Parts: sequence; C-alpha cells; structure tokens
Amino acid sequence: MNHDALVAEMRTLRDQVVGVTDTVVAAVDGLLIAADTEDAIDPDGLAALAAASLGLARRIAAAALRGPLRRTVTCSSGGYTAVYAVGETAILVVVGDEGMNVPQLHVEARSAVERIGAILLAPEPEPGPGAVPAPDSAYDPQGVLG
Amino acid sequence: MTSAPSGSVPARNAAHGLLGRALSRCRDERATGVLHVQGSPGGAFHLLDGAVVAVESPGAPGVGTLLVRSGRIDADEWNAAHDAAGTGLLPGAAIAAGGRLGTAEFQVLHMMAVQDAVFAVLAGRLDNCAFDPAAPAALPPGLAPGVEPEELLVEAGRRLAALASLPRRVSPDRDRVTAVGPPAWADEPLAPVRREILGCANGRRSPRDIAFLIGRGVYTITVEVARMCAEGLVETVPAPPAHPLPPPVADPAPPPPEPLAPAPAEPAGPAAPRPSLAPPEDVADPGPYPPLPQWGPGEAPGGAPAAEGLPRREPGASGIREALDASRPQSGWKGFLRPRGRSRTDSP
Repeated sequence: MNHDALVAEMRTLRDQVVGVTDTVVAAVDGLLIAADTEDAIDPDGLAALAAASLGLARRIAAAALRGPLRRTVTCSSGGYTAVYAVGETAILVVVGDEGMNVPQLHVEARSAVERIGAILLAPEPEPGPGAVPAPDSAYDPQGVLG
Repeated sequence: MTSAPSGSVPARNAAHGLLGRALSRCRDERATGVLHVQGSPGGAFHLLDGAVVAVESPGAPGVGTLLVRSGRIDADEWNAAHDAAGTGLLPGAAIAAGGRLGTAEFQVLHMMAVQDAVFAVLAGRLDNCAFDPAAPAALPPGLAPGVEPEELLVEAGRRLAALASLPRRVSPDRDRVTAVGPPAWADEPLAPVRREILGCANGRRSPRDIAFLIGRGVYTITVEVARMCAEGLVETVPAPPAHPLPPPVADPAPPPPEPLAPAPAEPAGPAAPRPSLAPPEDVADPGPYPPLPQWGPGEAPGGAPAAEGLPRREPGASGIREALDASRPQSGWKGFLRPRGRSRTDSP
C-alpha cells in the first residue's frame, strides 16, 4: 500500500468538496489506517465508531429488505459525518460542516472510494533507484496534515 | 445562456458575466424557481417573479448558521428549524416564522447572508447555470422582499474589487491559513474577531471554514484574514506536493483523477481557475480582477508540511477480512428477543 498516495487522495477529497473538514480511512474492523483530522478529533475513536455504524446500517438495511447499503450519513446541528465502504476491507469517513454540499460529496466520494480501494490493494512499490525511502521514520501519531 | 449581456451590470469577469446573463434573463422573463449555479462552491438562487429572494451556497454561512454559531438560538431550535425546512422554507425563515426571531431582525440577517453568498459564488469557480422552474422559492412571499439581481451583482463586484485591492490576496475557500507563532501578537490588543480567527487558524481551515465556525460573513472574515496576512499574524499554507512518492506501478492501476465537473458551456477563460494539487506556476493573469491567490510555492515562509505525518496501519492486520455480508449465516441469537405477541399490520 502506498501510504503517500492514500494521504494525497484523502487531501484531494477535502480540497474538492467545499465544507469537508476531516477524513479518515480505517479497516472494517475499526482500526485506523490513515487520518486527516484536526487535533480536537480522536481519529481512532471515530474510526471504530464509524466502522460499527456502517456494519449496523448494513444489518438494518438487510433486516428492512432494502438491498445493499450505499452509505450512512449522520446529520447533526453542526454538520455531517458520512461513512462509505471501500471494497470489503475498509471504510472512508468524511466529516463536513453544515455548509457542505452533500450531493456533491456523494459524487466525488464514489470515485475517491474506487481510487482508495485500488491504493489499499496495491502492493508496496518496489524501492527503485532514487526512490524515497519508506517514511517509517516520520511516523506521527498526532496525524497532523498541516 | 446566449442572451445579450445586461446593460446595467458591467461584466467584471467571465463568472460575473455568466451569472449576470442568467439572472437578467430570469428577470426579463419574471421567472419563479431556482437558478442552480454549478461550480465550486456554486450555489442556488431562489427567484420569485425574477427577483432574488434567497441565495444558498456552500461557500457562505446561511442565516441559521449565523444564528446558532453566535448563540442567538440553540442547537435544538436549529434542528427543529431544519425539520420545518421540509415544508419549503429555508431553515432561517422557519425560525423567523416560529416567532423566535423578529421579522426585521431576520430580514437584516437574511440580506447579509444573501449578499455574502453571492460574493462566495462569484469568488469561486463557476461552470454553468441551470434554471429549475419546478422548485419552489424558499421564502414565503412577503416575509422578505426580493432583490433586483443587478443590485446583488454590483455589490458583489465591489466586494471582489475591494478584496483584490488588499496587499495580500486571500481566496475565501481555497487558501488555508495558520496562525504565526504567538510572540508576534501575544502582547498586542487584538480585536475580538481577530482573536477568534487566530484561535481557528490551524492550517487546515480556509476563511470560509472559519466563517462557518464562528458564525460571521465569509467576506468579513476573508478581508480580515487578508489584512492579518499582510501584518504577519497569519500565513497561508502552501499546498503539499501531490504525490511525494511515485505512484504505485502495480495492477490494477488506480484510474486517473477525474475532472470535477463537465466542461463549462461557455469559454470561461478568465474565470477563477480551479486549484489543483500541483502548484500551478503557469497560472496567467485571468482578467480585470487580479487573480485570487493560488496555491503556490513561495507564498508563505516555511516549507510544505510533511505529508506523511499520519498514523499508519496495513488493512486487514487484525485478520478480520470478511465482508459484512447479509447472506452469511448469522449467529444463533436471531430469535432471542423476538416478542411473541407482536402486532402485524397485515394480520387478520
């Protein structure tokens, strides 16, 4: 998995859709893969809750006989939290303020989910000559993207 | 949108011209409906007999946001107003209709929000305008008077020109700002709005985001941020490189990023260019307006933030890889809590 490509994809979504403030990619079991969140948000907790909510929503949709789930969107007084499934192994969480254009987010998220899925499934690129070494040394649990 | 440009509104740039033609045509036909402006941030102009009664845009806070963020109403009232919005009212109008807000107070706030939204639409990228005659106008007639489109466009042009005349140019929704270290301003008396901006400027937020967060107009905040940039209190954050590492060569290759929207219906050359992740060194001067600032190297002191500073984990490391599939055999507690005497609407 190319971590930098994943980070770039998450940042692109934030830049593309006005009102998107934070994004998180996690495994379906709720463990964090990458977070582009502000300091006040705990990305681990958000990832775990979002994975649980997506699984629950799938079960609700199945119990109500309403077919496969597309996404979940949580509406609150201060904005939105949307959760999308990325393939069968990961989820994408998008947090936005109340001005966010939700229909536009769904359009952009569809292609972003496809690209993120491809990034997650791709093997680690071979370090060729001149390649930048894997940024393990830059591990930063704070998740500050700048 | 091929009608002749309105004579009274000078088309200051392509976005201004496109919107001005669409609105003046609606005005001439005394149209009632919604003019959807596609672009980034884009917006929707609600028209009644050709006059503008409301403008909504993701780029500018609406009346409800201004009310709830300033503490004028609480979140519960705001949620209730959102539910009432299903009846065709704007949430802010629903608050006013509920008697929580005086009609005059609502009208003042509403006009501020409308003007702010027009500014946000014109400060961004504008692709196309599409009129939807079926959608109802968002305000009941009589609560707030409609505004002539020309008035809105002239005022928005004045604001854009005022913003462009500042020494530092800041885009309302594309430039993200960060506070410069406290020593520069810790001992100075600061206006409350500046202190609020400094509290919100964490490098992730644009002036538009800050305006939503503290419930102020996006024009006000953008001007203040531009002045604070010039004074060295805040700084715009340059965009990181799009891909610090070469893209993965493995199959399946991720598809290339698609364009955000279909090509503009008209040659929109001088429109504000869409910000790309790659620093556009080749952006030319687009026209009568000086260009709103772009992501670019050298805009701000300090290097680009490290893009790899994120928690990382390989997916599936926990061993849980199966999909949450409804066809999978479920666990044995399926009928555990099922009530015996449940009522069914289809039972005899």
